[in-house]
Amino acid sequence: MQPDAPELTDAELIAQVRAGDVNAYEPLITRHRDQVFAIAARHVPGAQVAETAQEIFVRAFLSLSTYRAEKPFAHWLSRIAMRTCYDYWRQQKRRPETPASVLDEDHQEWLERASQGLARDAFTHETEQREAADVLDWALAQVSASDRLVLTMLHRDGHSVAEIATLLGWTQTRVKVTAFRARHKLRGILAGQMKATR
Amino acid sequence: MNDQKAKLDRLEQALWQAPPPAPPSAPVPPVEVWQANVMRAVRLAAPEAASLLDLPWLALRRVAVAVVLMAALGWTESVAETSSME
Repeated sequence: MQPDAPELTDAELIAQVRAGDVNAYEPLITRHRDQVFAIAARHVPGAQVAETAQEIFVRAFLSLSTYRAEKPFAHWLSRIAMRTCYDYWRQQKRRPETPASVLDEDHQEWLERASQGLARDAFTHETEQREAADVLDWALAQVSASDRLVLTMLHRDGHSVAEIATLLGWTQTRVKVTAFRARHKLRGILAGQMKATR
Repeated sequence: MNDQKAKLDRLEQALWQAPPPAPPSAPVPPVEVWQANVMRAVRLAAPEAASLLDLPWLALRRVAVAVVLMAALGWTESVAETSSME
């Protein structure tokens, strides 16, 4: 493996890649892989993280002609990473064979406890965390890819509307409208499930 | 109604505040293997990327050719109009 070249900036390495030196891309991967893995790990299932991270770097390589050096490479790469995660869920939505997850009795109990405000204290238990994550996955599986992404970026990652707009290349108004509608849908799904458990 | 709303608020809050569970124990390739795979994919994609890098020049050339053609066409038309008026 080619060693990292700390003396070269991202922009210099990119210039080398653009000039035809494919190997100059490897230090860029080494430098930014933790950031890319972190984004992928937050937005796609665990088993898909490595593959998604690979796709992000290949896409970035193919799009290098569109990179402008005024903004940091890391920032530009984050946008490609978010877009790749978004496309992952869009593809999942198109696959009719994708099995819909089902909530079992433990999840129903968790829903009941959480709605009574009793769940948060128990998050120290691994099973409780797993149940919460499963319920969230189950609910998010029923909304669109864009709804999922905006909700998780806003409520789980703690991004601001402005940050999400920049990362997705959307207007702030579009982010706000999507977030509002997506939250409404998610609450409808949860309300329906709570009624069904009674 | 208010009770239902309060329940939903608490449930929603709990869902987003839950810490993410530990990643599944799916086999993750060592980072060197992963990076070698990425570079292999990048090398395979290199010819495609090279053609993409050429795109702005290609587009510019096409625009230049189109401008020249249109100018020539306009000149021919204006000459034709002038001669028909004469």
